[in-house]
Amino acid sequence: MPTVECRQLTKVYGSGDTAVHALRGVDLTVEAGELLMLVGPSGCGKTTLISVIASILDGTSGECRVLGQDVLTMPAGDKPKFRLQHLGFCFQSFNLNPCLSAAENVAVPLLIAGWKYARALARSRELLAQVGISEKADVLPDQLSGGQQQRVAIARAFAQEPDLIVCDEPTSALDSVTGEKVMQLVREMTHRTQRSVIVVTHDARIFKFADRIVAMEDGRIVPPKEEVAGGFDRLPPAYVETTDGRGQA
Amino acid sequence: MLRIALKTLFGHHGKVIGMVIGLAVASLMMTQQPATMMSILGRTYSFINDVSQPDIWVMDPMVQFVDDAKPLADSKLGLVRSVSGVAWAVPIFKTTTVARLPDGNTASGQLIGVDDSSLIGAPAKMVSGLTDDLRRTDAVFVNDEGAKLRFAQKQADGTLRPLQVGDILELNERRAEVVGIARTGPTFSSQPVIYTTYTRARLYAPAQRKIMSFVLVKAKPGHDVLELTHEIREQTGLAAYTAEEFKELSLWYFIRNTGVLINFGMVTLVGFIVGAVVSGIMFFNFTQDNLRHFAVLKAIGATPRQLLGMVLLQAAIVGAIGYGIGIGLASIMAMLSSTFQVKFTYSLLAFSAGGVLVICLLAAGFSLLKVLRLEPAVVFKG
Repeated sequence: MPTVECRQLTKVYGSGDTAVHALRGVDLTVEAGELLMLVGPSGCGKTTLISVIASILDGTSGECRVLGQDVLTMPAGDKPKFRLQHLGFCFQSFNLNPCLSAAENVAVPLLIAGWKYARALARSRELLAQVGISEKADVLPDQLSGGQQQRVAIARAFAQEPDLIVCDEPTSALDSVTGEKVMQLVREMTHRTQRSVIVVTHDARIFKFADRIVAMEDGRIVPPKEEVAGGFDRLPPAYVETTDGRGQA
Repeated sequence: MLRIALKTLFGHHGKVIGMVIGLAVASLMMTQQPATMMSILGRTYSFINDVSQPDIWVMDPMVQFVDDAKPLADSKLGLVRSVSGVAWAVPIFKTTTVARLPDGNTASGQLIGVDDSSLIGAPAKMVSGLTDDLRRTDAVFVNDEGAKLRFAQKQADGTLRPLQVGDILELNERRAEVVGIARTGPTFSSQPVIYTTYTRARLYAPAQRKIMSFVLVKAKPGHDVLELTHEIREQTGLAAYTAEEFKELSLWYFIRNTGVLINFGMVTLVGFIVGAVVSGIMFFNFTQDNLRHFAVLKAIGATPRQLLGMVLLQAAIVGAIGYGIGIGLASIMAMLSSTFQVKFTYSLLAFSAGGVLVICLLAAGFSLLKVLRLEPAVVFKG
């Protein structure tokens, strides 16, 4: 069973003349253990698509099955538990709580799930060790570098051992070396634990870490022939903005 | 989750201090002002408290409060005594007078004349002297507050010497010897109180035909006091109240006819509003600053109930700290104040705690609306 299966998924903001069609019949499948990158110009609907897949935004029509459950018809009250059990998040701006230590930030999903504080903290120290910053467990986020903060965020995303992790521009706030290291880590953890990962990105430098790249434009997935397996070079340049100019139309 | 809530709260020192200060001010004003008001209003019936022996106070029907004594004819005493159920009934006289002090200065005070034979109505607590000393020639007691303040005499070196046992006063051009200093409740006007016997009080007060202010009545054992008040009213045509009823009558007279309640009430209300506005805005800003983190929690899977618990805990913690500081400040002010003997009753503490609770609930309520309506998808907005 695929981890994600979207069929004719639409999302419309507003109504009537002011309606904005953010998703126009998206068909997308993400297999278990796959690291898929979603690319495309700003406003093409990438973030809307992962928001709907992550069940933090309601779709308008179609079907979006995550682990076999259609998140469009799932009762609103069931969604928090579903996200907690099956989804992990990684954000562009890390979104770490500045008042909590690195270990406590990692422990947040576990504490939400009802773990005892000491047990959750012990588990989060293990995760921080896996992402290579065990010595920073008791440090506040503002005392960490950008790369270290993103490692904390990745550890947090993996804390509950979710089946699917959605990452929104995980390297855009990082320099190229750090960005590559972070993506290397995401890839390692993904393949080691057989989780599925969807990465929304503009950053062409990290395309090499993808198992598959899917491009979007105007709320649609571009035709399958334009999907690219394993690299940036075969991707239509118009869909990608890069910091070094590669791929610009 | 609650630990996260607390760490997040105390991670914002500035806002926590602001919220606590707002709540402390509200708590202080909602405690100290009503306590002062209660203290002042309590003085309106302190004389009734001081005269603790009788069950019933009988008076002219037009009397509106304890200082509004309208003299009764002495014959009314016999009338009251004739009511079945009355164990004893004694007269008491209450008026204002002017005393000439040993240094030649004059000061006004309240003159109380108590029953000559039983001395019922005399102060129960003596600082110096004995109650029986009131039977001596020209004997008077003075209350300790009056002796220390209004009746104190200025010495050559500028210091004040309190009136003492053995000092001689002049009341209505007659000699009065201080034979005791009594402890009584503070009076509404802070006037000194002079106690003497009923007969001698006739001489110390300006001449008038009727001087009996009240008749103090004790019910026979087993006789219902309320029923006896009805019987006295019916049979004598006078007003009769239990001590509690008479206190209430006096209290409400002052509440209705002075600005005490309105003035203190306004200050208390201002305290509540200032506390609510300051703390509410600070708490709302605190939540607003952390909205992104709440959105992350929602996205990860926190339920509305968990978020509700976090916000309420944060509000409860700042509320408890602010309330504690406010009560502490009110207590310090009460200890430093020599003017009012302020008492913080449980009901008063519950009142201010209720006020702080309402402020916290309002602040948390507005913040919660924001948090619960928050779309978790904002986490993906850069």
